[in-house]
Amino acid sequence: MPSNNPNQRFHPLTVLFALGGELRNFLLPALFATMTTSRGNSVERFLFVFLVPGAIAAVARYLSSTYRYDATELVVRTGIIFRNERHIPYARIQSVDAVQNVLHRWFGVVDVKVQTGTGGEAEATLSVLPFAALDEMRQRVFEGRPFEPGVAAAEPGADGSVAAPMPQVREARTLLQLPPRELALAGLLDNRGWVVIGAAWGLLFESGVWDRFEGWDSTAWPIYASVLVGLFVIAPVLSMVWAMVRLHGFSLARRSGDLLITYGALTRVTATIPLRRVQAVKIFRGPGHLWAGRASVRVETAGGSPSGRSATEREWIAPIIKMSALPAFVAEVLPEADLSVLNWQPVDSRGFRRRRNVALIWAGVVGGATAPWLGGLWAAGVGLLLAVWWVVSARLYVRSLGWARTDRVMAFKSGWIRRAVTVVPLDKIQVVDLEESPFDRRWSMACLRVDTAGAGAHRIDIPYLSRPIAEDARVALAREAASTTFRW
Amino acid sequence: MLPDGFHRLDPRFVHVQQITGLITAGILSAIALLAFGSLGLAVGASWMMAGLGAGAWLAGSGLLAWWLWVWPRRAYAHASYRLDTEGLEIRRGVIWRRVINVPHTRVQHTDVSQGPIERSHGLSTLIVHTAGTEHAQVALAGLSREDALALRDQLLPRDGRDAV
Repeated sequence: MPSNNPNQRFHPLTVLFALGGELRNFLLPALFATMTTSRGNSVERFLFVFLVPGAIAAVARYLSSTYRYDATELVVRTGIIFRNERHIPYARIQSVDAVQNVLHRWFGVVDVKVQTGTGGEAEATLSVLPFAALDEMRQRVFEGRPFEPGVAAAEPGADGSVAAPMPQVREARTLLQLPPRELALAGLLDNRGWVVIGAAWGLLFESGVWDRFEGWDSTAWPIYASVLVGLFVIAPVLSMVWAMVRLHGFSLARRSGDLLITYGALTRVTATIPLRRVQAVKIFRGPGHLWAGRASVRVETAGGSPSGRSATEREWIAPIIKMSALPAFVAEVLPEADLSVLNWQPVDSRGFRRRRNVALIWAGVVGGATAPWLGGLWAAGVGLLLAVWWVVSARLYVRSLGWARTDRVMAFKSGWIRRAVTVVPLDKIQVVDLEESPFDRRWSMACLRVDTAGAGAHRIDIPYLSRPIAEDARVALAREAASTTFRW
Repeated sequence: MLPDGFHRLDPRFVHVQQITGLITAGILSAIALLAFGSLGLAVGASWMMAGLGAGAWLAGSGLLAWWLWVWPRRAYAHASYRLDTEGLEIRRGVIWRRVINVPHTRVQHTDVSQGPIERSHGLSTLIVHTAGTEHAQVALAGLSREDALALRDQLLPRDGRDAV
């Protein structure tokens, strides 16, 4: 119901930022236009044609958009001709994110994104608000929550009396702070520099730089070699610098029942994720992580897509963390998930035999297929090599699979090159399903899956479980889910 | 024999699936005919080639139609559901078999829908929406309209309070 709170407009600088956005959209075409046309004044006319309507639209949008805090919902009104009024109940808001790039910080404004459980874009993007409005939003949205997990009981005093309950002190407790060195390591392990390298290579190719280097004469070799070495040096350096800039000052804190994440040198992001919105905790370790003794941790909140969209930045609650600090960290985020008490059970060992048979068949197929080209002996060699590699990786893969069920959580780990662990609290389980392929039936195995409200690359999808064990687990998990209420 | 408490789908569903299958087969055959026909005309095939092509098309369409006629009966034999105090359990699948458990407490909302063919047979599909991602919607087709409505009523929040 409408409250007495007034309809507030966004910050007046919204117009400026909206214009900036439009300009960015047309920057590339404008550049293209400058390069291809000969008449000098066409660029100005071009920009004029696109910017003036854009400016008018931005001013109109600014004047017609308002937001308001009702008793139980956030109400955002937009539009002049087609008026839209969006009501977002506070109880459905999964997180409130604030993004600031350099310009935002200079002017003291933020871009606020309000996320609910539906997938896709943020349900409300309030661009731009003054910085003070962010705190008001967090307080109004997350205030008056029915319970706060992890609240300590009052301690009895020295004389045995129990003090009166203290008022909730809303100060943040830092769980993780990453210095630049750790961020550099994170960048190195992440290795995004190769994307830039690949793009640069493509651009150079298009511009015809490589056409000069025809043939393998003695002058070309040093150039090729130096280019290759350069790439192998530049790519990691680029990754490290990129991570140090993007995640600068990374800090994860816990305030009452919320996780607060801040990071960013140029674009500053402040994300708030209420702990009870966490659907699952996932821990990833790539080969680099294994070598460096680190891991990365993310949380899944509702609103994931079934295909498993790529991780958005704000959900990496720990882009990198030392293995020694991991159990304590996970216990803070998900109190029920004590990694040390997880009793990992392996899957059925016959799973290796299944995978091995498949590997051998494929190796034979590939060997046979290449025989016409390579000749019998070479093809056999290829087949043998592939067989050895696939059988070894099958063994390592099946050994890496493990699952654990406590009275609070369900966990699953998999992967030997890239190791992933998913931990799901039992009250976040949505649907449990068991699937048997015809091959499963022959070996009397089954595949157990647990669906949650947050999706992601790795989920609880346990193959090669022996049938009775899978059946028991299915029944038990369904019963657990049925006996707990799911609270957003 | 069905385990305790499980129900089969409505037997009229077999017919609905067969009709749907035939329509699908008809459309696919028509497309294939057009494709083959235009290919043959473009290539300038001889009468023998055309005859062979027509034979292949006939055989393929016939096989497809027969398959889509026979399969629903097998699928029906392997499909069952049960609604108990814990939730809805659905079993289906002939070659790839699945057991899906949707707890009562995880049902967000439900739909009961009817296509035209279903309507002419008095059947409906119950769609249960959850907060899950892979199983955001769990569909149970082949229920009589009364059964679907009864299931829906039983799946709505017990005490009327919004459990979410």
